[in-house]
Amino acid sequence: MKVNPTRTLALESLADRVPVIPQGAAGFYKQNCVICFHHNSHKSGVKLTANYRDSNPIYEICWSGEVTDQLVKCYADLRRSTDNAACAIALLLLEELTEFTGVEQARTGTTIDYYLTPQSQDNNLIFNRAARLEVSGILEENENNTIDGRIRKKLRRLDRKSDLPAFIIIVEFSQPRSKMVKV
Amino acid sequence: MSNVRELHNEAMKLAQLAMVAHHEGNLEKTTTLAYQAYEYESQAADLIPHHASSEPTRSILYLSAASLAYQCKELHAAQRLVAQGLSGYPPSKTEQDLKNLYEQIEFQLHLQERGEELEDEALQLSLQGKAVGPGMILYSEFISRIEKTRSLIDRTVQRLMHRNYQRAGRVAQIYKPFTQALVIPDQHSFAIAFKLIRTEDHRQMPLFFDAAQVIDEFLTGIEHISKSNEDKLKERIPEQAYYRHFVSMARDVAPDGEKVSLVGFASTKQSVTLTRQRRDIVLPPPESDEKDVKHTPIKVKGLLDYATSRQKDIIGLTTDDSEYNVLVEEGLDDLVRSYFGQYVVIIGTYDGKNIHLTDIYSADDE
Repeated sequence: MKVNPTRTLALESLADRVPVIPQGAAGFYKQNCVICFHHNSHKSGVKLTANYRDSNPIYEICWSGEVTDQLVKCYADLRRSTDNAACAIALLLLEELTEFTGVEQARTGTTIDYYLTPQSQDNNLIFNRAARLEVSGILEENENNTIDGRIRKKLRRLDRKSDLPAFIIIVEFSQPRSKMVKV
Repeated sequence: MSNVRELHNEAMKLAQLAMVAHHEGNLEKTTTLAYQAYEYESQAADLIPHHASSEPTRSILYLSAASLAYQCKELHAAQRLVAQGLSGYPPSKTEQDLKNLYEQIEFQLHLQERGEELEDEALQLSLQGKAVGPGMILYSEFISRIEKTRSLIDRTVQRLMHRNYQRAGRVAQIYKPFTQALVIPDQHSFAIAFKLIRTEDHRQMPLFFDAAQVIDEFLTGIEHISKSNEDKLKERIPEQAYYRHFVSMARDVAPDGEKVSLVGFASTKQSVTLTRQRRDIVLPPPESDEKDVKHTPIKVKGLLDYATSRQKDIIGLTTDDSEYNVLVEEGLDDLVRSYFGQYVVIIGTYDGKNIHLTDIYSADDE
């Protein structure tokens, strides 16, 4: 049986690794992640299995700092926190596992969450080799809300006539794992 | 900053900081940051040559700049940026996104121009899409949404009066403190206002909420649906029948993405655009208490009628080769009633005797 080596993903590295997340917002995304892991009684160093194609690398998700009551109150909307946390984890994984990196959060009127570009790219026609990313988070998977179910739902929703390649990433926080599909 | 990437990165940085400011509840800072982001992004977009080979970068940047302008309420600038994006060679998906954004901007502009005319007791419904022309709309698209909005308002009033969900029969007059009137349509897109008027019989009776509160409650629910916040809606409407009713009726009011692409509601205090499409809104699953009975998934098409039963929770469905009893959960009654006499598709589970309905829609939508 193939043993997957464990790699480390530090939540503090978000701003350095993902162009769409600036320093001033990195703390916000990190805290959303911490809240979702804390909700499931996980601590820094929790292992996340990231499925993409036929590989399942394992990542140790690390962060510094404690979860205070004040922090829990600030992020009481767990649904929103789960979405934000899933975006942060997905962008880190994408940067690890593909040539793409997130450069823009898509806005109103679209089901796509981010635009991605190759990590080295033209400085002007920045989206000419772009891809789309659609992310979803699951705080606690159950029989009615599974990673595979979410993937199927998103595949149905994604416009098949879309002009850009797309990635779908679903992140689950109770038994931390993720699944990435390229469409 | 001289190149597109630098300008775009600065815009994205500011946009993300605007999102954080919004989370912190600092709306003034949110708008200021979004405004700065819009300025950088529109500069980036303006640097891209107007050639087919510039796509999709050019149109995506204009879409992004227009979205930021929309966010900071620079609506006329947002309109111009959408027009710039559409004037190039946008790929089909981006073109559609630009058009959708344009409709949302139009709706907001329309509210700005007309907002002062609305009264506290009025709820405006605006529709945009291929089925909508200036002051004109396809009959079926209009009637269906008007009836369902009326039902949503009626049930909201009953819920605010702490009335148990009543699935059939005449509602007692005491639970009808308002009558609904329609106020003449506007010529801009297709907009019409519902006005809630205290009925003569109720003027002297104490009522612990007013029309404006009914409208606020309705808009809050629609906003939760629009933002996929069913959990929050459930917290707000704990009684399952009312919750199921709200989701099911809002689902049918929502845009189909083709004939109607935007449904907007507005009061004097707030506006909510329902852009989430009908197919993305899932009805709550039925509650089965027959654990020992085997249920198999079923999807059938037929004529919905009363023929097979007079029981209040069972309706009939006649297909080409069979007749079925369809068991309707409390809360879905108004939705099902709106399809009586029509050809429909019914989805559910079959226990060998009855279909337990999980979804229903017009056969024309197949």
